Amino acid sequence: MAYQNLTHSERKKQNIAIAVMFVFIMPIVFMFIIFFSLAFIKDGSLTLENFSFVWGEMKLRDQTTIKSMLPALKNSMIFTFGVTSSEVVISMLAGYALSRLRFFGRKTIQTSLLVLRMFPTLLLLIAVLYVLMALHIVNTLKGVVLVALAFRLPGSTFIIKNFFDAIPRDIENSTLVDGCTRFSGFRQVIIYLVKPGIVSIAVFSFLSAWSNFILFNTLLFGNKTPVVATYIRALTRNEQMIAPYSVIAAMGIVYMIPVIIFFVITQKQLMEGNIGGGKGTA
Amino acid sequence: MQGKHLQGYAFLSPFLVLISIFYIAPAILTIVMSFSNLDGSFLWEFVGFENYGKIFKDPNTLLILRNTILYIFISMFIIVVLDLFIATLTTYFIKSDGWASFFKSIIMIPMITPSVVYSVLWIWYLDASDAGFINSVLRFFNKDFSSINWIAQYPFQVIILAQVVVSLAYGAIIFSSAIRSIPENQFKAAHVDGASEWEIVKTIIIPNIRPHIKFIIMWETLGLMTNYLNILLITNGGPLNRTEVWALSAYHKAFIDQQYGYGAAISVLLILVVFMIMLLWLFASRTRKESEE
Repeated sequence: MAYQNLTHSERKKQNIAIAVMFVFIMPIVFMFIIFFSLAFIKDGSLTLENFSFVWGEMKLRDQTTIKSMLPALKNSMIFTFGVTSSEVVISMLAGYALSRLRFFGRKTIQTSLLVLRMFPTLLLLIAVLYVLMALHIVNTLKGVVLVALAFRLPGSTFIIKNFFDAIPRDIENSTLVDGCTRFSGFRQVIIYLVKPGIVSIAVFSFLSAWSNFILFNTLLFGNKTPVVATYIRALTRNEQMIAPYSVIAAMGIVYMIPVIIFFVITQKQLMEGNIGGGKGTA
Repeated sequence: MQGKHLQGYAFLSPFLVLISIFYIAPAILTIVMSFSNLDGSFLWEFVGFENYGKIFKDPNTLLILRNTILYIFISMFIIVVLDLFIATLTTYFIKSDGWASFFKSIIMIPMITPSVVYSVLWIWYLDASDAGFINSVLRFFNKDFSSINWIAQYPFQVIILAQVVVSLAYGAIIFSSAIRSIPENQFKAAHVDGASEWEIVKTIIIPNIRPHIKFIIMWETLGLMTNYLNILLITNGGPLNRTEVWALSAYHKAFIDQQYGYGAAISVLLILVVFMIMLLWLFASRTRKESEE
């Protein structure tokens, strides 16, 4: 809606509403800005010293040493890339089959998708740990990738299936008439028509994989495979902080850079409202 | 015909394999575990309903149940009211798209912040020491002010507040796109009839988005019931179980005390409640569809 078409009273109400919203978001904005600005201050002067954990070991005032964040960053990247890319491919194949192909058991799988999408996966972690042990992939990054994938697949398959449902059948039939097989038609034509769906799955998959904490906390132990989330958590116990807040704020900034970049690029998708299970749903 | 079935399963096979091993199997295993006294040594020994009996005998169960119910209802109520408030302001009153998406992006920041960082933010905000933000602000205005250990004194209020701030964005965005799809002429007609803005909110906006409100109530209830992440990171159930909720106690029993069987039994009871809510929801949405047809 264009700004200039507003009547006088509408504009007045809009200004009041803007003022109210400002008051409302102020505490949140202040909280984030002041906390993260701590990262650039040490002994009252501006500095980047608080970021030295990124490239090497860091000595704190009380002689504790903090290990470099690099291995954790690397593991987090491998994990996020593994989950996001496989999730997009697998959910696309499954979503396509459920939307377009006729086969025995299709209805059952569709209905169970609805239930699985809402099922509280966090409550299954106890048994998941046992399954990983039985498969001898407990305490490995690979195992956590598979679990994260399985937990997220019902939601993303459901989203992408709806995108496939919206493609007119004629388009697909004409690819078949033109001599494509199901698979080559899928690869050459259909994929391009569901691009917005792919983007939105990728966005949510990335955000949830990159910020995941609980899976690492319960399924990885002994500090063998650090990821950024467990790396930061190890320094921030509930009762007392091991590192000063300025260092933790610096770590938070490093952790959040990819999130912010992704957020700015894909804001539109996030706001359309097809959020497939926000954060924390593992 | 045979080939057609095979084709479908060829596309679905990676999905089905992953889901069966890491989702369905653990779900069944959770139920089996709940009848055993599996612990850190991982020896199976079935004990029937002993774990369930233990839950009812545990003196903390009543407190945990009370915490869970209060936590869900208070948070859910605040979330839904604030979501309606934000969505109405940013979609109905603020007509400028630029401002509306600015406010919505700000509200989404807590949601996209990784929970490990988000929890530290609250701990820092309310820290009892000199580093704590609220305490230092209060001291700035009143020199004699003695610091309050907010998290230790008001743990329940703190976790509700932290959870509400994180959850706002989802519902606000759903409501906001629902309000946008209300035909413009309904509002115009109401204005011509001289309706006040409060009447418009009450008689046009809320009735139009009622299905979305129901969905958010269901969604947030399930989320609050099962997602213990923020409580784990901010108060870890303490002090003295004052913020321990049902789902978190399953986590504590299993992963801290290594009583996997007992933890599984606590989970199974919660899963049953979740299933009842889901069935109710599916049933309600089915009858609604039928009555519309």
